[in-house]
Amino acid sequence: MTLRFEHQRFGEIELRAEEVLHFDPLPGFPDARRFALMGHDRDSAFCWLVCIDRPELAFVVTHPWLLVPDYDPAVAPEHLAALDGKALEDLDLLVIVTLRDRAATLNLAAPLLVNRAAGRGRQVILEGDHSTRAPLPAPAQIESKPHK
Amino acid sequence: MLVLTRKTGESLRIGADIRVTVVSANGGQVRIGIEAPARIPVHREEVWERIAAQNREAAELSPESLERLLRREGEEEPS
Repeated sequence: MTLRFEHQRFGEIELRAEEVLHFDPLPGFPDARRFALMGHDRDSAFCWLVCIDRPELAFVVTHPWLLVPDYDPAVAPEHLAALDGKALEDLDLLVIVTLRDRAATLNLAAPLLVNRAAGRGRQVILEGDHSTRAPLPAPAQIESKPHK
Repeated sequence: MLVLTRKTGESLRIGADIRVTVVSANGGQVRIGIEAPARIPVHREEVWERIAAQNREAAELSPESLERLLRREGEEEPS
């Protein structure tokens, strides 16, 4: 079964049902529930989290450890349980990129946890001292890897 | 807004599976205990709002800033 929808940025998108990610409501976007992850190109460190319910909405996301190798998010076990994951390794962890003025920053305080197999995701607000606007390291330090 | 009066130690129920208990009240400060299923996240309002504001900002992607991000990525390719 496929789902077809028109996205303002990406035009017509066709998704297989198993590519649809059902998110718990994101802070600030209570009516955006269904998303899909799309790589903007194969070798990019960045990809898109595109909203199916709100065709104007998309986030740039990235795997934080490419950019911040010592990032250590303490994800509470109840979040893992809520996504049917036993350990963090069972899930994808992504962070949202904010692009403002001339700078790109990462929201390390509230990563996205995704269980692709189950088609589920949620944004986790971490306890502790993580920045919502951690600066990106210099480009030379970024090791680009294909989106898995 | 529904407003209810509770004494210390008393609770209220939201639906079948959420219980909110007044643990203590002292001066202007109230300690609240919350029992809720794991699928329902519980946060202080100001923490939730901080993340909501960041999400809203992240959703505003100008084409120029994106262009810059992609160019930035392009720079590393030769290495």
